[in-house]
Amino acid sequence: MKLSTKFSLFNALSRVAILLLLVGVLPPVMSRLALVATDSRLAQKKEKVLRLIRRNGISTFIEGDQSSYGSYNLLKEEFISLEEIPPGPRIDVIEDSKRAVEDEIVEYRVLSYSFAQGAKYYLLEIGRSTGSIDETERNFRTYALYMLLVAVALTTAADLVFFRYLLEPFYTIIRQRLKNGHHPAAFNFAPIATGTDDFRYLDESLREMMTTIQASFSKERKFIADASHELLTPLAALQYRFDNMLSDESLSDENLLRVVESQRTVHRLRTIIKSLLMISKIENDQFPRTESVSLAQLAAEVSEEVQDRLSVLNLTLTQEIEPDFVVAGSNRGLLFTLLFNLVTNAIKYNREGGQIFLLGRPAAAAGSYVLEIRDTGRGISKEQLPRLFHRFDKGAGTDPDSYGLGLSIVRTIADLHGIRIEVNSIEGLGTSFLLTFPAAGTV
Amino acid sequence: MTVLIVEDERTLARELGIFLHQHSFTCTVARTAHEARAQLADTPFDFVLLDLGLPDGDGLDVLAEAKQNELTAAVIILTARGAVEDRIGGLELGADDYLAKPFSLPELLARMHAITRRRFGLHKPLASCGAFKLDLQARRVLHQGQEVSLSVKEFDVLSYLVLHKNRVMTRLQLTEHIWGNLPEAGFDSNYIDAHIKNLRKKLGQLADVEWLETVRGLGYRARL
Repeated sequence: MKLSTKFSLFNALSRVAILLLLVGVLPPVMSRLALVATDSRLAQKKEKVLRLIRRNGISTFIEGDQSSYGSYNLLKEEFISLEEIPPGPRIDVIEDSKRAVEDEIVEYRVLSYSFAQGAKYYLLEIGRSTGSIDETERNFRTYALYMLLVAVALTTAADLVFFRYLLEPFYTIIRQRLKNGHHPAAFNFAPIATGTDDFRYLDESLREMMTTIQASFSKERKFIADASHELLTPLAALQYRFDNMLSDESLSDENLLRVVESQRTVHRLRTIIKSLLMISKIENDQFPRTESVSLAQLAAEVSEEVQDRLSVLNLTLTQEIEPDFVVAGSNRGLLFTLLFNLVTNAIKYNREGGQIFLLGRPAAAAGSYVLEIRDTGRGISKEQLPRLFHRFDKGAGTDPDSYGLGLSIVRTIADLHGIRIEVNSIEGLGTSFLLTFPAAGTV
Repeated sequence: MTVLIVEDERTLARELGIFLHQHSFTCTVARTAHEARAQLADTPFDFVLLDLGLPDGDGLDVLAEAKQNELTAAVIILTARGAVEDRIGGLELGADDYLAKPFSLPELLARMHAITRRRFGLHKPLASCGAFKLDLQARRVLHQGQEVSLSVKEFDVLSYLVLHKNRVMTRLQLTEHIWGNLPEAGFDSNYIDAHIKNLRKKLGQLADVEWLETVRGLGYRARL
């Protein structure tokens, strides 16, 4: 669950809880409030009536031989009664009591107050029906509830929008810093705009980490450059010495043979170093990928390059790349190496008079493309298949002159270009390498 | 022909010198960028073999400076820094060729000869081998004025052997010359043997090819 959702949910829930609490607490409070309000109104009315009596005399209400006065308003929500009572203790209370009014019993809140007027004692009662109090209370409660609900909905929506806005830099940081896996060489160190200190802190920490990574990458680059110079220079010296020794007339045949052997050893060393450096360089992103390469053209170049090798082994190479596919954003030299290594393998492990096919076709996935390199050679054993791309791993049946690096170079180049490799092989029948090129722009 | 070898590795410079001396070049060695500048300002050379990683500077700077001072020598860059940028940078600055270390010495010689032909317009008269004439410029083999049809690689092998006549060329040296510009796909000398076989067959139909010798265990030689 997203942070913003969690926050908004928590806020909404807390508001709902408060609301429920209010709804629970409100009725007693409300009725209490209503009661207090009613009581003070009754008291006010009492004062009014008493003022009237003091000003105009009791006769305003009770005339002649009548002993009491009573009045209801139309809906019997309120009444006033005034009657003469025998002398007794003073009464001044407000309480609920039921009264019979024209055949129905109505619950009233009644203020009873006794007072003396002249030589007589009177009891004044002012009542207000509790029904009307309840209704006021009910209305009040409903409105309050609606208001609260609307308030909760509005604030929750506002929360969501605000949180989303607040967290935008967070997602930007993830997108730019972590998701779009740029190679360290192409890191973008521009700070991400945010007013939130926490995010700024996160961004700064990530940028520090990127700096460290970048430093270690450039260190590795430097190491590769140094290693290639420091390792290849002495080898060059050796090689020149052997070259010169070969033309030395005084050397015995036996020693000449030794020199030739040594020369081959130097060559082997050199090839291994060059291959390893190439792999490192590819992994280190030191090859620009800016070219668009036609596979049909590339295959034609490769097959031209191996023409003489084919004729030596009496092999036929068939190329069917229809429709053609253009690999965008690639490195021509590297793609050439990839295909060249696969084709030379297909030659090396083929049989006299065998066949090699370069077959291109659109893949099932939209826009992607499959290039197949198939041979009719000796095939690869089941045990060897999983280890095929491992460095220096030469299985049984591998050419003794092989260094076990050709295919790991192939794999590295394929990884760089987002090309998937699949190998199928039947021992004794041949091998098929399937290269799946991603649709343009999906790497 | 005079050659300035700009190389800080003693052994390397010495072996280069020995080899070029055998091929009648006069060599001078400079071990630092500073020395190289001094030598270039002093003496006109025909060739400069320039290593890029010098102890006191970058060979490319030496080259740029020398070119500004009207350097007329042909420049071949020799470097272990096989980086593409180096190569492009060097060729842009007016180097004539580029060899990634370690190359074989016969290969260096072949490149120097190619430059000589290109730059100094020294049209070598046709090199002859037995009853055949080799036109290196047009990459043709002639027999009594008639062209013999050879494949590209066959011609490469033949011309290399003739260029280094009377010296044994190992299969490895020949392989490197023919496949040198390619990613190493494992060393396989069978192809060289096959090319020699084809050469003998094609040329042998027309004339004697005794001069194309196999030196047991070592390689091949054009004895001329």
